[in-house]
Amino acid sequence: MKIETLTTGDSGPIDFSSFVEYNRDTSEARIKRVALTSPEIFDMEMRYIFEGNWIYLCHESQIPNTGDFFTTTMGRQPVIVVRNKDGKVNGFLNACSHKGTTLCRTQTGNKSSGFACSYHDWCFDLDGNLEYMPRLEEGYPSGHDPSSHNLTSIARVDVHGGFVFGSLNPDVPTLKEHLGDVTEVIDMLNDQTDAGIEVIRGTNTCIYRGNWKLLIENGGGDGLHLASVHKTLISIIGKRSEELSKGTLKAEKMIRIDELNDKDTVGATYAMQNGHTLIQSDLPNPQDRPAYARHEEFVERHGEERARWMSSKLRQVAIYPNMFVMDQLASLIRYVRPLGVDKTEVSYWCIAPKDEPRELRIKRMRQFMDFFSIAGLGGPDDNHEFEQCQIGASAAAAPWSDASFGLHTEFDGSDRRANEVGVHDAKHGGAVGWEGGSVRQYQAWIRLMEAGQQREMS
Amino acid sequence: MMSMTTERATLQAEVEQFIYSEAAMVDQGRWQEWLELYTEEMVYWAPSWVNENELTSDPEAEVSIIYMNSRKELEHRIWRFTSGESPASYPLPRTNHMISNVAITSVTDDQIVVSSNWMSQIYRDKEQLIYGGFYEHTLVRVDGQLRISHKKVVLLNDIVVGFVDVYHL
Repeated sequence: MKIETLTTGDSGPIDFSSFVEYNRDTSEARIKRVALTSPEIFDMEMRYIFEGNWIYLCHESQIPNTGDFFTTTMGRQPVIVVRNKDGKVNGFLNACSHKGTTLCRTQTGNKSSGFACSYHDWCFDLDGNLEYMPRLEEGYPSGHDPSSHNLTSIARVDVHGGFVFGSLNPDVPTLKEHLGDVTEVIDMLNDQTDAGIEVIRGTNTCIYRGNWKLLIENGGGDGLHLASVHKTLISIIGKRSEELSKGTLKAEKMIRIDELNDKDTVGATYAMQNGHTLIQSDLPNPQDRPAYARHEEFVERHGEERARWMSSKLRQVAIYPNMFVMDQLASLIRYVRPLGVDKTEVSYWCIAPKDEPRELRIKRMRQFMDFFSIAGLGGPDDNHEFEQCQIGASAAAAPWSDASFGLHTEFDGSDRRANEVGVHDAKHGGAVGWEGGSVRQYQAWIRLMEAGQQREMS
Repeated sequence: MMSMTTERATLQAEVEQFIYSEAAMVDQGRWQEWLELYTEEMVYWAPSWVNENELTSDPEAEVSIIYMNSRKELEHRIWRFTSGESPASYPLPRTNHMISNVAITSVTDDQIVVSSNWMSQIYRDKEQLIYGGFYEHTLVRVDGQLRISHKKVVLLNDIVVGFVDVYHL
């Protein structure tokens, strides 16, 4: 089927491989913009990717105690993540097995005595077993087995280093296989302290009127936009630095992203397995980061190279398809929830070592607020550009986006720096700004969409 | 000598006029005048929601929407959104801040604390947004003029469209 007919309601198979053209000989690549605008494709993404593969759900620190729950969605399906009596993380559809009523109606909370449906009082334990039905004897024949109405579990729930993932499709590789060596970068956060890391209180959530992939692409390796989109932030970094040196300001120092593309800030972007990407770069002023206070301790415990990554390097991982683990201008989880083909919810959760001294926590919080809050000096401009990309993507007479920047710098596999910290399974990489990250993300997207389509047709 | 009641009514009127004029400066884009309403050591704080009914309470160590603790920061922010170089703020929206329920909650020799309710109509790109919530102004007198030493803005919405900035709030 031709792409041009996508919006006509034709339901034949789509040739997803035609969405990306990459010519390695000429270092040119382009991506079909209709992937951002077609409601039909969005619907397939929900089924094949968000409801058909591993996605990020929440952080364990958000549900520390027995019965603590966190509500979210997987694709379009409401779910509950809950800690059971043994401390294990369980996941269920947030729908009573009787009439589908939601069981948890707040973002977080505690149900240590189990879930009681407020509609007809069916009660479930924290493992989803139906424990009580009112008027059981008079309502159902003797021998009725309540376990036939247990809650529907999220097919796979697994945790790596506190990060909880789930898949509604049972037929997926293990989480470990899915994540690959991206886990090294998560571990670098956790290795900062034996106390573990936590999500700091307070949410920051917005909805931009654009497709979810625009953000995933941006955070998956767009190093080119800093100087243009974040021009005012860069000026403010300069202004603030000047005021701080004059003593006319109490704010914290910002990370000098204005100097990030200098030649001596060595870095690279890697396309990992399954659509994940990793960006690493030296930072010009690591001493102004909260983590740097523990640099010597990191060296002692983890060696020079890993310590350098932990305290001094920008690390940004896009875990396909719906989250980023970022430790750069600030440390955060950026969580992406598609609401519609042109509507995406983004939450910014600041993360930090649990045992962080207050003065470092204050510094971390200011750095987070400076860029990433929904009223920050950086994030708003990104979100606005995504909205403008979405409008422009409707200009169907110009069907392609270019993705060729830095493709001539592309290398295969991991480089020395990545290998030194155990990141061996990068498939490709390039200099910071390399748009190959987007291209490889889309290639992973093609694989997922083709596999999903295949599943449904067979 | 004025009676206590008259004195209080005069103060109430002065404070109301002050808070309305602050809103007018924002709605009319009189940014320099607006900036000068704040003391140099000012705090501007818009806390975040922790859950459905609880706000963050520690602006230094918990997440906020905005936390600034000097007028310089506000000056930088104003520079940013009026520069024309921040895509999020170009063009600036038309805004209309409505304020009501203005109540003086405490008066001491040094300061007056005033609570109020606000609602803003924001119009840009053929779209309208409505935000609302509560203000708490802490006012001080500098050379006889009221100035803002602390402003807390509660935004009831915990999900915003795209982003927010001080001109939305």
